[in-house]
Amino acid sequence: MTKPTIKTAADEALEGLLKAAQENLPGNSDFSSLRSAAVSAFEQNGLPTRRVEDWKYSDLKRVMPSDLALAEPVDAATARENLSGSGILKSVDKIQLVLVNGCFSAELSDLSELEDSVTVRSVSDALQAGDFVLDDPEIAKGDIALSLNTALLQDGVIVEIAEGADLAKPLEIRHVMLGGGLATLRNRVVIGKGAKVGIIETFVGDAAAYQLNSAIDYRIADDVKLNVMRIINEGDQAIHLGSTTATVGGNVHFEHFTLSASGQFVRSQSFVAMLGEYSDADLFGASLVNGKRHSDITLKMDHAVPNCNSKEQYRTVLDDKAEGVFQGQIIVRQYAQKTDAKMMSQALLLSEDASFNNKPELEIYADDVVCGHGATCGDLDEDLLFYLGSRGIPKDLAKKMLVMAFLAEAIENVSNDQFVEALEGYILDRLGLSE
Amino acid sequence: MLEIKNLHAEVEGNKILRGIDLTINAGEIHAIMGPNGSGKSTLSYVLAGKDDYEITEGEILFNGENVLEMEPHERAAVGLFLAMQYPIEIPGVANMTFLKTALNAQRVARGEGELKTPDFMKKVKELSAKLNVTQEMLRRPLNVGFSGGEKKRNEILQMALLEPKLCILDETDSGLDIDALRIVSDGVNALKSPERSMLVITHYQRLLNYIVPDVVHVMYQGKIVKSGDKDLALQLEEKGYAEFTGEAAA
Repeated sequence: MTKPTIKTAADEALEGLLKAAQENLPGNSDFSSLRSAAVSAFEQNGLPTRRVEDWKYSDLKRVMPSDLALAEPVDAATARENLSGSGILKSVDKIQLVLVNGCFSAELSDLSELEDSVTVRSVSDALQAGDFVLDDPEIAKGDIALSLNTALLQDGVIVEIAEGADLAKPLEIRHVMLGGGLATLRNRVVIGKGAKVGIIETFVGDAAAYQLNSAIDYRIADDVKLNVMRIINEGDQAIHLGSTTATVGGNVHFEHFTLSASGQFVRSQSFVAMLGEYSDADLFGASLVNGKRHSDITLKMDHAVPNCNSKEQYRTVLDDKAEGVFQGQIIVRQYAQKTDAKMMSQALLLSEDASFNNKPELEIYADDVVCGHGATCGDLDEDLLFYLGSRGIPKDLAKKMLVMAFLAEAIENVSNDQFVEALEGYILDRLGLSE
Repeated sequence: MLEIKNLHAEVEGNKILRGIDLTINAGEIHAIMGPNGSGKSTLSYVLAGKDDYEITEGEILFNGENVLEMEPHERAAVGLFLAMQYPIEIPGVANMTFLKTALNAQRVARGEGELKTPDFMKKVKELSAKLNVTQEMLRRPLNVGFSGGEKKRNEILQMALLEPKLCILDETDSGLDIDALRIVSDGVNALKSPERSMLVITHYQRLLNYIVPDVVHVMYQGKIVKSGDKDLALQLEEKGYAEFTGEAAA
């Protein structure tokens, strides 16, 4: 028996937008029927209530505005003016692919610098040509953010990296939001066997109220080495719904780091399916949440085959009235023997008014595995503050040093030294500790 | 330099210090000995400003200034230093960064201006070599994975670098083998000067062979019950604390 959905103003607004937008969105009839199904599902269910387990701590009904409009297209010249060279990874040499308000901009991207082993095209072109197929991993099916993404998908970038490629520079997919409104995009990165690849996903925007539903789908063949650096540095009024899906082949090393640095409401969710044996996935992250911001890291790791390792380690610092969420689920399926999975989420609360919901879960069906999870939540250790104080370091500075130290331990996991340096530099700056 | 007058302190209602009177003049080395639980470590923490303790009576003056009104970092800046019995491990803070931050914070508080990095490095290198503190120990997170001896040497390195006016050594000898004890003692002795005083807290007379005190105090049940010259330590070594505790020596 289904309960009738009580629709809020936000539900009504989104439903209206979903229906109105359908006509102008790209895609052939196959894709249109996917869209229609997603729209119908939304009409049925609306935004998730807090009774929906996956969204219990991140209430979309509360945050989604009731005056929704699609983000307006921005021409390249205007976008360029607003694309300052600054950024958290500004010191890292990279090749940029730029999306503005959800649309891929060839003009703003460094397409001429791409190596021969890399091809890039837009999702809207692929949709028109009828060759953009959605097949999310099992664990991502039914997710509301992905479903809305399908319903309103405008564009995105498809990056294909040839077998055996060894990219000299990381590729940055830079998402820029200007002037407010809702944008929906989905990127796909297909990585051929044995390739070595670095991807940076950057999210930035202006001070306008905007909503971004962004998804990225990594398809990782055997023997690949992939480092992903995901930098969420959205504008102050931004609502960011970011989804990552990844299917991981055999003998892969997959490293994925998320920095949640800003944005009014951030949900960064990852669905990773380990489908080939002898692969490692290291999922790390650091979140700095202050003011009245909300930052949610949700991940589902699916160990579907034997002999894989995964590490999930996230650290969150909360101040003022900030809210933080970590939901991590590791599923070890019956045949996934010899799985080694360790998950740890640690939060540091600097204010009485900050809150953190920490929910690690293991779901294990195999009997020969090493799995563990841990969660901590606490304030700064008075003994450490006293020790630093007794050496002459004032309390305010000592606190900042300990916050830096707490986050540094998450960042140290990143294997690329350039990234580590840039991330640490950013956090030092933000804490006012840089020299 | 240091005047402690009728100091009473308690933790959660338990009276630990019950009227300490102690005066240390510039250049003097004082030792405090006493059985376990007599309040020696509490005295050192109260001097350094750990806020677990409630001061119910008395005062502490350091060069005439009221120490009890100062935060720990302010006490450090005026020249108080506590070498701790159990130095704290701080993951994520490199030892070198910590040393530099501490030194410069104190210098800024005293209006001396920060030390330039090359001058700082030179100074640290010089001092660490003497104390057998390796480059690797300087790069590592503060005290993390350090052996007991390494931690104590690192405490003395901090002391040498920060050049305090009063050095309080809380059981610096505990957990040290003979060689480490010598290195640590040499480090402490190198800091002796007519302007610098020391308060050495120890269980054992052995340390006082290396760091020779001008005055030895016996502390028992939160009070100083006897004071004398360095020979008092030798007598205690021989007879134990029975005279003060009223129990027969084992």
